[in-house]
Amino acid sequence: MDRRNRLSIFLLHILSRVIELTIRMKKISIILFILFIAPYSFADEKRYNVPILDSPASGPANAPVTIIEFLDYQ
Amino acid sequence: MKEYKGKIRLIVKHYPYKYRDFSHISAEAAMAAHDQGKFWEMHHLLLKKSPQLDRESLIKYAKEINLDIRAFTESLDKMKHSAIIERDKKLAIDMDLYNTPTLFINGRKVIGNRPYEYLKKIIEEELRNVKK
Repeated sequence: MDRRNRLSIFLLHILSRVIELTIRMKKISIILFILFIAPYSFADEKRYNVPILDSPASGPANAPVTIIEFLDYQ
Repeated sequence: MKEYKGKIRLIVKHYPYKYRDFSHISAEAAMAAHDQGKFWEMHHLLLKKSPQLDRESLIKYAKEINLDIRAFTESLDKMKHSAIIERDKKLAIDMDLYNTPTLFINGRKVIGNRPYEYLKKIIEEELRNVKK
């Protein structure tokens, strides 16, 4: 009886360690996500307002997509 | 980009790096061609021929696209468009850009040369947003 009790306590202990580790892994993965992945996905969503002025342009003025390109020919 | 004809408006801003020899003069060449209604012809030629962009080469390219050479050369030598080019450059610096090309696709910043598929994905997303 005592042996079985000890075994079940041992198994419970293992189980709790596994759960604890899983939670910690989850926390780590959340931290990793915030640190490395989130800034990029947020940065992508930011929209800048670039004045067009009289710069050379092609395509219709009411086109659904406007691409402004800053370039250096060299 | 031809597959999106009519759906995209492309605008070019100059961001010549001061420590590169021919950055400014080639931007001048593009704008001098612009005066004669041939900006895009010169633009594509400059992209194709880069980095061969010294004064003599630029004049040769102007001949290739049948520009008025006298007017073109004068524009180049007097740096007639330096105010516009400097204005663009100031805008780029004010916006903390430090890389060319930098694109803004409906305001979304894309830095550096990207594969066509990457740009296409963003363009498709933007077209979907408009339809909604």
